[in-house]
Amino acid sequence: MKNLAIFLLALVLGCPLFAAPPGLKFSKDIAPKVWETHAELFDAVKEVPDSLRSEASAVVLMALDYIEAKFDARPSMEYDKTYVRKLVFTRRMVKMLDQKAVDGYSEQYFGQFSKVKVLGFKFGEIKNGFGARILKPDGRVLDVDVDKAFALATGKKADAKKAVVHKLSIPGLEVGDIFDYFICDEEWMQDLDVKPVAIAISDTYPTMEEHFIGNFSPQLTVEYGALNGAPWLTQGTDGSGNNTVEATFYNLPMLHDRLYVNMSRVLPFYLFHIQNNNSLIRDYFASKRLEGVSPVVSSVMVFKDIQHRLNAMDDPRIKIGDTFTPALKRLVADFRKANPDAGKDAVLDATWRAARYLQLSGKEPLDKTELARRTSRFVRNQKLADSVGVAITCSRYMPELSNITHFMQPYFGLYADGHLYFESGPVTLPSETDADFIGELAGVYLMDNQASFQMPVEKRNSIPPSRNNRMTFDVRLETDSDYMISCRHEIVLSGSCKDELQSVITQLEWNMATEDYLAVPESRRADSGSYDEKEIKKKTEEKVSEFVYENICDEDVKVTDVEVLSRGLKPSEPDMAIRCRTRVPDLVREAGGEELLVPVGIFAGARRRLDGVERERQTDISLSCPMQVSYNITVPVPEGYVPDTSSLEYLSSNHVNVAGGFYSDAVVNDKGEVVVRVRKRFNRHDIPVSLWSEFLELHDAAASFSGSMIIFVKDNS
Amino acid sequence: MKNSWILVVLCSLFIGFKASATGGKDDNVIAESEKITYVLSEKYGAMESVKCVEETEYSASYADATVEASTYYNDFLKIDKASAPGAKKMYLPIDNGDIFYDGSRVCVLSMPLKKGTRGKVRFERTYRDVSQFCDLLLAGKYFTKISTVEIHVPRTLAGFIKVSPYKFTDSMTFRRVDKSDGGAVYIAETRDRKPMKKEDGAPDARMIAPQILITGHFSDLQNLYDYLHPFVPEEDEVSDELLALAADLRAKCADDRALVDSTATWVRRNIRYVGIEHGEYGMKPFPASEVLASRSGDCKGSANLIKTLLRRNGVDARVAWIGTRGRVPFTWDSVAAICSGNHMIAAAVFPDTILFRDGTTTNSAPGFIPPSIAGRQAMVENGDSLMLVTVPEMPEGTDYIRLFSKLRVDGDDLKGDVELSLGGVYGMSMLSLFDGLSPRQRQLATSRIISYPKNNSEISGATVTSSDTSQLTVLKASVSDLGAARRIGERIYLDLRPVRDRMLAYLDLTERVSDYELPFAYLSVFDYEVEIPRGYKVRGFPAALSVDDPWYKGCVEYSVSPDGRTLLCHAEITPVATYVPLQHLEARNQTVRRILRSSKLQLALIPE
Repeated sequence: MKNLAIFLLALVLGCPLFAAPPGLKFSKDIAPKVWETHAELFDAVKEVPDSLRSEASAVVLMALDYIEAKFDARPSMEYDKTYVRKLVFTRRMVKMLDQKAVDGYSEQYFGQFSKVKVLGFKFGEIKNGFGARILKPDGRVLDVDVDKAFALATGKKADAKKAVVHKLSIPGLEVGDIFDYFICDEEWMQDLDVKPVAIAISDTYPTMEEHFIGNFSPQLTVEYGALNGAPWLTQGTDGSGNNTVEATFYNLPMLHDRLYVNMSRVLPFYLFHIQNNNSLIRDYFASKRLEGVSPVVSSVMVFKDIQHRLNAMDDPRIKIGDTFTPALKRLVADFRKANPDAGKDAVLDATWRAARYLQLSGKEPLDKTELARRTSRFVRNQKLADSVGVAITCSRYMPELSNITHFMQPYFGLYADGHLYFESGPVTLPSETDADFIGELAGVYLMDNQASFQMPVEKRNSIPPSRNNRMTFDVRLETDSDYMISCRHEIVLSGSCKDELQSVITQLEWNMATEDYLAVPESRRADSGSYDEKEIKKKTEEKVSEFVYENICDEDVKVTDVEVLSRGLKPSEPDMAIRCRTRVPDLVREAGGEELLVPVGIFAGARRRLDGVERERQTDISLSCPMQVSYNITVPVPEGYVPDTSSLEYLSSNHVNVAGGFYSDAVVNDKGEVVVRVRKRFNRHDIPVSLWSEFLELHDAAASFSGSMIIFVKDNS
Repeated sequence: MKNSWILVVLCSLFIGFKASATGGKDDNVIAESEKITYVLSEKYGAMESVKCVEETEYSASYADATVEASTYYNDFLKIDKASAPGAKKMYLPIDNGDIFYDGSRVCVLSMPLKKGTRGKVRFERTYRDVSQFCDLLLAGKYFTKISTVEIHVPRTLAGFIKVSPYKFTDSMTFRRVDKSDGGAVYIAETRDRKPMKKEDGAPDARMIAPQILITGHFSDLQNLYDYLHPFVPEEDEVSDELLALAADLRAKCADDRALVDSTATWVRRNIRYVGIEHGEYGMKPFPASEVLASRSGDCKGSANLIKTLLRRNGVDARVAWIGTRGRVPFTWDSVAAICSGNHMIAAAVFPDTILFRDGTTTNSAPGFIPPSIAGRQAMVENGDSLMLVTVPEMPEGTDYIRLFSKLRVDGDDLKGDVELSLGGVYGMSMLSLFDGLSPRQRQLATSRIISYPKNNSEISGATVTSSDTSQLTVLKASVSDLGAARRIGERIYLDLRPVRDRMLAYLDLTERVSDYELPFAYLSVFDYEVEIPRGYKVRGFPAALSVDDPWYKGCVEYSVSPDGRTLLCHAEITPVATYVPLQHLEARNQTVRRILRSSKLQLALIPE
């Protein structure tokens, strides 16, 4: 049916397009409404306590986050059109305590404008505005004139009508002033849904008082999630019958943590989805909700939406030619032909990789839902597995699956006989887990006998990490008479640790590796004309240099002779293996004229000790994955010297706690060389803040080891 | 000054895009040939406009590629046409970090090339303001086999427009061909031109890249001054706010010379640097009252505000045009063109001296002249004429780091107090760094600065003080240098690392193409007193290092106090040459190695 088709196409194709902007008009038109909305909150200026003055460059004295959505229906010649107009603004009154704050607030970008078009027809418009005034300590109020903004425009001429953004330097702002400003977004949409809104309950600076207020037409369906500890909102209605929500917060601290933080899981925020369920040109899921405001306390309804969407896609009314399935069939046949002994698991792995290949190489540009749905259909129809379905999960850098508020939020993938396959980074093999999904819940929409997707009854505990998350560094040091240290490195990355160097992989290389793996005949391979081996080698050297600096030695090293032995893109070579050389000047030191000191500690991932405020912690610790990092540093004994055994004993350390472990020792091997062994282990990718002292113990142990040396004394025998 | 940003933009276009370039003739994409033709036209005996046609043929030798060709334009240089077969064309605003807004734009042509094929990109532009047509940077983003730049000068201009090469290399030629109609064509050819790349410590591209200078548009320096001076606004009427500020500043200073400094200090601390340089504002300062009201302005605005405040207080203050050190290779008297300047400062003229003050160096102390303008030639307004005056240099030793640390062995650690004094531009930079940090970040930064180059130190009780009258910032703290006194067996190994100079860096010379330049000369002095634990003595003092060569002068010395209980270490380093040509960098590296190696020596304490 046309209506459904338009809706689905809108989801796929609906994209903002730049068009003639309203210039600065919107900012000026909307300003009176913003300044008047709950103006009483901003009447009294608060005093900043001394404790905050020494903490931050600015303090938010009062903040108002406001969201309003109004419904309208108008008859037209074609059909009765429905509209939603959404207004979202934040108004903040900020005390400038130092120059950093003044500099930060003095440059403002605003005035973005876009249209939402579907099949060339305009369905909506989004615009952004800004307004500000400065409250001087002597009581003067200076209005900021937005007409002084400069337009940054596309097009041959600097035509303000083609501005993509306006840029304004705030005049007259000084330390001691209060900057009272707003940023406002207005969006109207015909028949489609307006974009979701995220409201964070935090700021770059401490906030003394913050209000969140929402007002929605009764015809609209509003669902919101309260994430990361944000409290549920107080609901009610106003005198006009509109639905309202509100919450008030006092003394919100600023977040100081900078290292090992996953913001998306620690910052409290609200996520709003405002749905227009009254359009006559859309078909709705059977799970369509009634009007009103509802907190999403459980994601069950969203799971239902996904189920309906998966099943709706089979609707014969919108069915279009399926070229994906035959293409996938050919690729799987290629693989089976080349691997006649491949077992069921291997074929499933190959099937998902083939499906992703069709998608990522651009041959079959399906969206994430459709890729998962068609692949699972294929697996079932080809009887590659008994229990088949579409799997969903969330990345660690977005809300958890149990907190999703909309059917387009999760990642989609394939479930087949206990295996879960998701959209992963290039170096993650089908048998491995992308680090972004470790520990996340997964849901599975199994197919019933009629091949209809059922609700995700099989909700797995969590996605386990790859079995072998390891980084191994074999380093062989060679010292010369000129105090230079030359090293040969063998680096092996396994499991999710490959992610650390996945930036060396290009899409083209992944395509080519996949074609090799699937044994795709030459005639059907993707165009590899743009494969520039020299450029790839150069970029690989740069990335490996950065990696060596980050993970092995942060001294002034020169990385050369980089050789990629294996890129970890195929099951036949699952690990990423790299060989390279480094040269570090003047590391070998003399002491007292009789000894040579070799600072081996710096080759074990030298770590700076966390200092001062860095040693305090507010939030959980987030690492890329649970992992073990091993360093094996071999040091041949310089001619005429012998190792000082007491210096070797000094290299022994052993720290084990619930967060992980740090172990080091030194031995003399059968060739008489000194071998220093260092093991760092982190048991979990997410370490609760309650274990900060344990994590810090390991961090300090690594920092301390970075100063370790082997002492060679003159051989007087 | 407008010209400065043109070059900034040029550099970012040419250099920034190709950070990963291998930069050789073996690159996949190279420019087979580049021909840039400038045709000058005349009206009423003067240069009226310049048409520029740039044609470059690119090839992709062993892989499909997309050539990203670009050219900039602005209010003074319009783009007429841009074309390339199959190319995607984009016109975009340039939003560069240094200048808030200047109207500069870029046209980008993304031209797909199949391997083994060639494609030609063509840009056509016209200079509407020919005063800006004074120097052409000969640099590119791709390796270029042959580049030809032709400048066609008509007969009517040939008598006074001069075109000359600057910093041409051996692979470049330059010649003049006289035409039969009396005109002239200047032709510059470059073979096998490598793309420019950013390298550690490399001088600014404008200081080292070959250029073509076009002079004669201004007949002499006076003529150039006659062009620039009318841009400086007459400040007959000023705001009440400005008058009140002037009166306030005067009331606090009886002495005119002190007033110059207090006025400059007020402007530096209260006028935020914002470069708004579109159209005529590339040359023209914003009125002083506007700068004051908005509490923001660029160098011209700040200079004009200082001038206006001082003049209101009876001081003969003026503005001065200047080319900053390390950014402008010319002087006004050597090249009478816009390209000889990129900055404006204020000058207070007294019978016996001129005091130059830069309104943009936020944390300058009174009387301090930053290295960017010290020793540079300034063109000072002087009614209808001009004055050329060299800005004085600060006395030798103004810019320094002095570290004094008193330590004792405590377990495996060295503990004690440290005092770090930063003078001159070091002190100024430290305060500017702090301006950009929040209070907590400042604590961390202080800690890092004090503990450098160690990465395993604990700092406590850090304080930062700065003087209002001299350019000195002092950092004090208690320090625990963890693991710096390792006990192995009966011995204690002290890792003092006395030379703590961040500028003393070893340079990677592989594939390096650029000279090296230190932004300023300085002195660094490090003194340590380490209490020797009872029952221990120092075994085998290292030989003192003394360096005195064309690159550095200094020493690293160890000794023991007369009572034998304190280990003393003194190190002192100062660069002799701030500019080191490429061919001498290996020798400079060797000196740096000697100093750093000496600094890395460990001292062994053994039982007495």
